Amino acid sequence: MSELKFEYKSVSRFSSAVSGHAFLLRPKPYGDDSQRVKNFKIEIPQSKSLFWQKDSFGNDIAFSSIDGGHTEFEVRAVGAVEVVEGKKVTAFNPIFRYPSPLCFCDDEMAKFAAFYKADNAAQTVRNICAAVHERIIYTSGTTCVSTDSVRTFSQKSGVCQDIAHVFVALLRSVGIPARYVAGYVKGLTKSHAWTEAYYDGFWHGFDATENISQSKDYIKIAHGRDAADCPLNRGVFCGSVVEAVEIEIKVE
Amino acid sequence: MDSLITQRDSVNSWMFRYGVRFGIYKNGEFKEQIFPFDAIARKISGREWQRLERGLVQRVNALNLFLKDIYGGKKIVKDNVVPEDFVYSSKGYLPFCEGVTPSKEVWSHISGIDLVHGKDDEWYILEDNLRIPSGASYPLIAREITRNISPETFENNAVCDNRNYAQLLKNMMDYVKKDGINVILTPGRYNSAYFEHSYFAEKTGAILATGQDLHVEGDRLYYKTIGGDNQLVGVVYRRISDEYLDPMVFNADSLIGVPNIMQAYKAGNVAIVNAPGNGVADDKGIYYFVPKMIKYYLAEEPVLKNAPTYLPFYEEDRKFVLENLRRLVIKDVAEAGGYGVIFCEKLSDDKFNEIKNLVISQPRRWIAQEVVDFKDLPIFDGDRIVERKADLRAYVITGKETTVWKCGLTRFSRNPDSFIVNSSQGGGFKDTWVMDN
Repeated sequence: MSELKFEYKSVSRFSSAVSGHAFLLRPKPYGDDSQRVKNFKIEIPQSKSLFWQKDSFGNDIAFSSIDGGHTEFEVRAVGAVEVVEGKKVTAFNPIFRYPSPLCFCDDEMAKFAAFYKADNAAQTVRNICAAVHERIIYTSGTTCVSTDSVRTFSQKSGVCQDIAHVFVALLRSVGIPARYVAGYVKGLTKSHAWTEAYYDGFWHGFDATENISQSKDYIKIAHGRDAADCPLNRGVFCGSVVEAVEIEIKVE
Repeated sequence: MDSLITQRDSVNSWMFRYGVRFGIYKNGEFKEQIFPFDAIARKISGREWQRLERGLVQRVNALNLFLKDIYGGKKIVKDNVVPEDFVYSSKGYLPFCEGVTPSKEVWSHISGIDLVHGKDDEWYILEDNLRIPSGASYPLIAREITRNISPETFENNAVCDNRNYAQLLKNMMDYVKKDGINVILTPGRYNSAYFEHSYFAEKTGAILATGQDLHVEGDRLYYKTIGGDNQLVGVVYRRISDEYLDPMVFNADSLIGVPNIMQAYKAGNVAIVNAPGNGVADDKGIYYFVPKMIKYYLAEEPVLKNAPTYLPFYEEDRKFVLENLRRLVIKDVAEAGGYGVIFCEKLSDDKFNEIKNLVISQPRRWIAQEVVDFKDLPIFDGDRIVERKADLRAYVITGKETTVWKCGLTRFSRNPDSFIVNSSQGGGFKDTWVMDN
């Protein structure tokens, strides 16, 4: 059993006051058999209230709105997770077998995935993980939050979200259910994205950006069919302003 | 009907004055045009209507049960009646709505069911519209105008009154609503059906609001009055499609939706009409399964038939489709509004082979249908009467009960060779008289 502590801080600064600010966050680590959440605390100084719900994937959602004018929006969350070794997550939803808005394949991708198919699913997943890592070069600025897997695959560049999307799409095309995961990793100061594949009766985490299987340094925050199902934060507000966002994550 | 027919031009000019318009985007440009009215009403006898009514109520009840099942236990999938593939790959299926039960368990409050009257005298269902079926205001206002212009027409014909539509809407909204006021949410005046939104707000006594007039505080939805007060909203008849309804959950770029409205809905504090996620049940692929649903949920034989449909997804059907493709219509399950409909009979050989290959390579994407030879209706083309293809959209309202509005939108194609009657494809419409006999 090992424990990871985390601190999340994001500050948005607006060039002038904004109002009617609604937000929705997924700030809390995912709680299940393999990962227990402890001592979670969240503070949003500008918001008087915070409401919680779960989405249909089991991710915790925190939402509220700030009516009055403000020039800063700050979210601070701290807590710890206990990574329970040897515990496996078996809960399965067939939806992860099918293409989703950001994770789907064209003919070329389907052929690519089929080429790496091995005798057993475990080997297929490792093959495709390595192939994706090899093909998609980590480059920021070449994609945006709504870039889909086909686009990333053809331009061969993207960030962790895009790499995870391509991996998910390819796995599904060879019949292996797969989902997108967003979270934090020890040593990284930004959020990260990786992939979970379902075979042999449970979910296995793989990080195609690094070409490794998920280690105990990973904290899972949320999952979905693709990133559009589980954005870590969304907000809309009134005001014609420039927004500068600083996000800092610490895991130890 | 003669006096009405001699005055047909004035009906159209009154409609123009009322602002009965229909907006359309063509080549990226927004144009408003009138939706031409034809004075020769379609008559449906009382007896025929009773059968239609029975079939429509049955169909809509089964579709509501299907939606409840799909966003709940998915029994119909587990029992292998509807393949999982058709649920999870449907664009209209919203995972976010899993486990959410709408107020009073009504999913499809307003259903627009499109039918055609075959030459064999049988009515066939063409498609179900369970998201935001529009168009009911056209026959309503046309009846209002024709009644004014030619009252004797309605003295001499026993036509069922259609003025109860707004009351049906209001009763339904009052039945499903939570604490608060009734609101109709419109994307604004550039929407093709804006006329209808304002018309229904006026007729039902609901507030007409845009997304900017509404906001969520905590997990409740409020309407901000001009005076700045917040009024709690109990039901929203939204005329905004699912993907634009809540930028926090769906399309993040949407400027016409209401942030966090889905959380208020999920918390059970506001009813949304129609329920988000209904697209999974009016998908062209799911259409094939509706007769099976009726048997599955209601243990009844379907009263109304589907047009004969084949799913290339099933090997047996695929074989049949490929062998008989020339005489079939192919429809892309992801498209709507008369787009993505291919009549194979008229295709060049190259195009035909292209479609054939698409059916082989992406069988899940298509349905194939026999061309239903449906009845022509007489319409005025200038001063002469010509025969044109027409369909019927029936409006079915589900609140405490499921009721079919005794009228409907009869749309006809102005092009003699076309079978496509959608208003977005430039057709016209007629009044639909349900006879009281």
